[in-house]
Amino acid sequence: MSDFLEYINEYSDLLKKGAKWETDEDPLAPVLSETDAWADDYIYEFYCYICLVIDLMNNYDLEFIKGKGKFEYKFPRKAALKRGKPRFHALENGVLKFQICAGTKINCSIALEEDNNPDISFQKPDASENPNEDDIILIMDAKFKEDPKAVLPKSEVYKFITISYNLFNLKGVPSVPVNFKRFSDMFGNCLITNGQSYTSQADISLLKLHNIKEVENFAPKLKHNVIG
Amino acid sequence: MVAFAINTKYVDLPELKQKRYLNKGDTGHFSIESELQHLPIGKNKHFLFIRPEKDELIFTNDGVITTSATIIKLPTPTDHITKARLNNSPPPKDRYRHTFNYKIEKPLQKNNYLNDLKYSLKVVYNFYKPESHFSQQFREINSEDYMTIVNGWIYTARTAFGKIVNALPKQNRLEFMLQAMENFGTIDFVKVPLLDGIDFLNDYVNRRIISRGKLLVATDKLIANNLKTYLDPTQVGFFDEISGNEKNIHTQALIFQRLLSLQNKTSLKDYLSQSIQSVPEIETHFDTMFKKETWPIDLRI
Repeated sequence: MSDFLEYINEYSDLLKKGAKWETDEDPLAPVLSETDAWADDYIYEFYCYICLVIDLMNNYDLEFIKGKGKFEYKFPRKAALKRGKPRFHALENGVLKFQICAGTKINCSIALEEDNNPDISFQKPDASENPNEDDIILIMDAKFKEDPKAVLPKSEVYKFITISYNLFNLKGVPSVPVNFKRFSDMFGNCLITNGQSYTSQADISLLKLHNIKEVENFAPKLKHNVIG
Repeated sequence: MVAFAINTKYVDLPELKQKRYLNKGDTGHFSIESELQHLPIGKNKHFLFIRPEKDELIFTNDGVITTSATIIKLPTPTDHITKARLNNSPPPKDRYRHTFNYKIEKPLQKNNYLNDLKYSLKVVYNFYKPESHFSQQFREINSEDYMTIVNGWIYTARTAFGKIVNALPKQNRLEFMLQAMENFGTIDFVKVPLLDGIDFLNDYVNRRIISRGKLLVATDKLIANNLKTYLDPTQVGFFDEISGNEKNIHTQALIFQRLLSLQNKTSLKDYLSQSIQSVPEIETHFDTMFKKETWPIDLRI
């Protein structure tokens, strides 16, 4: 019995600490309304970003660009202006090939709604601190599913098409090669999830037509699968 | 049999200041000051000493009153009388000191923290501040709660449910209850067995919180193992310019690492069923005792 008390006391104590961010007391799993649901994926988005950055170390020399002030090693929780935020640069033989940015606002010619900014953007080496769609090589969005068996909703796929294909005009082969190793099949505009893809492997014509891919099972200890 | 809890924060008991427990057979006396001329505490009544320790209350001893109370009327300080007269208020009430002789029956050393017993006692409903139920010189304890405290019995299912659900932030507690209403098709949880509630709660916690914790642990490891030449792995996180909120991945991941290793050793479900099976008759006793009580979830704070 006292074993049980010891267990449940430790468990509930850790859960209490874990369920709120220690530094600012925000709930780790906030209860969201329909309108602000987009802000809830930041933990997963960052996990994807870090996985991709680390994979690129196989083929590039990386450089970390520190952010300014509080942003030194802290990434924006939601889309923010690029200036002063941390990012990685990929170099080959000392030459900058592209920039890897997390949560950067894109100064698109058609004004974007807040949640239409890409979670991850690969930007041209000369992309400015206030990038527009011409500075983009490719984009990726990450969608976290609490139930890994859950399927990406159709609306997410269509929304990603609108942003990538229509707003950012990301058509054809990306303008700059990005050589992944483990994720070599992810060279393109990817809608990433730890859950399941909306599109079946048998019918990828919509994805092909709009130059996007869906990536499913992208999660710790799982083998990702690319559709499109 | 009704007993009394005597809180030694308010009732002076010098003997208990020097040691953690009094021994069986120890005798002594304590006094209660009151406006009442007669107190319900009398000869042969049982009492429990309860002692504050930091933020906790600990039941230390079971004892019995050996003599009738010695009652003396306390002199009313003259300045109180004068003050009342000046304020045009009624004269101060008389106060009495009741002194009781006692003998210790047993030291309580097993499961005797109020925080561990709180979900097994009917007297407690303020789960965040259970000590509020004992913030007086003495209070009555019903016979069921008295037996629970003296024997250090724990209602395993209710304790597990309560400790976990009340560890969640308020938003999540409310969300959990809404989802539970939908899942069980009722707003009256008296009728839903606690063990079913625990399964649903466990699922909620894994789905909403542990799933994100696992991502933080994975991200923290990836950064520490691969990127430490580029950045300080202990400083990586998120910052929100508008709210000024700052989140640190490493410190949060450390918490989840411990939580996950605890879960991996033995799952909550296994621990729970082992614990219930070790003393099934006590769990059944509590099931009956709390039959009319709803889930112990505090939605106020």
